[in-house]
Amino acid sequence: MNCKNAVKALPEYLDLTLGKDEALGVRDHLALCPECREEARLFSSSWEMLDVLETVQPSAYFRAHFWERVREQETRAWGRTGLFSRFPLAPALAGFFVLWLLGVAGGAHLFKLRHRTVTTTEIALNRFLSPYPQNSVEHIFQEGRTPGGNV
Amino acid sequence: MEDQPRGNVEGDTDESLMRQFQSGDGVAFEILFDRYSTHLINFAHRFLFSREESEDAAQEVLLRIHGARDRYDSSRPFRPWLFSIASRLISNRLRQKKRHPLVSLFHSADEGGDESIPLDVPDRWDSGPEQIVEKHHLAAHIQSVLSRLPGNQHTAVVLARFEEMSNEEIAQTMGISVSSVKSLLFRARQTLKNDLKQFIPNHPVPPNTTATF
Repeated sequence: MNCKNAVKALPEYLDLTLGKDEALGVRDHLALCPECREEARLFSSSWEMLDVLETVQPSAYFRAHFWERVREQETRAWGRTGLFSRFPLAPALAGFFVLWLLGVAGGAHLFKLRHRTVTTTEIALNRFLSPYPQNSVEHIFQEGRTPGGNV
Repeated sequence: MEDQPRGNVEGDTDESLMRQFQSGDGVAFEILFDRYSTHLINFAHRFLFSREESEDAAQEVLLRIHGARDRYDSSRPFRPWLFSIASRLISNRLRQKKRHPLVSLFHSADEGGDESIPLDVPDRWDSGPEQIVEKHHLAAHIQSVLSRLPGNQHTAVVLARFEEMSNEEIAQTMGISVSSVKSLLFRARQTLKNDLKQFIPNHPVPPNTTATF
């Protein structure tokens, strides 16, 4: 193994992740080559040196703060999935629909009043209860017929 | 309401805990939370170098896991998925930081640079003031070397060195091939070696000790 290949394999050799045959090749090369040995030492020491960066522990409020954020997120998500948020025109459409419904119902009621058909029972009852004599002008007017015409 | 018997969830794998969480078991998520909070804070800390920001980033990662539980494919390993979310989120933060740098009111302009960032180097009672100062200096230097590494090399180093991930796991996390990981790590380690050389005591190694590396 030459120096170039040995140096290239050094990180894996030092991490013990290199294949057996290649590791033996690097080991034999290092035994003979002081420059590569020095390279290996520097690779190894600089890697170990990263231990100086200390491990940070979570603060006391880390967990509580996290669950607070979960609740906030869930509230926001509910707001996003709510009917009025998903369909911003929904309130206007709902109002329009209610007005249309009232209009249709009112119109139908007025139509029914105007085109109301008088039943024969009602005519008979009117005649019976009428204070005016039969076929008098008042009586005819009350029944809603034209003088001389049929009911 | 009485607690339901829960089986041995603490000994479960991350993937099985995620499956349990997906089916509505909140305790499974709490166990994952306990397993990974410290890891995520420290992972973020190796990039952001600020305790508050790191905690915030770790919480955001956990929030995403909590919110995206249905999107997790439990046939795939959990750890690379978790750290891929973390590294994406942190790189976004770093990009934002570069675009909108925050200037502390408590540091004068000439103090700038990485050395102004507070360090978390322990002040052990058996260390003398000189060693503490030396350690602070070294930690600041390492911090600056790490932050000067290209983003993907930095991520590969942190995953390999501090999360003790295999090259395969790093490849899954970063979405690259194993050979690319090897190449990234080699280049990063060369930079570290060259930039930290000045702190390594000069003791040449005799030939018969090579096997101990």
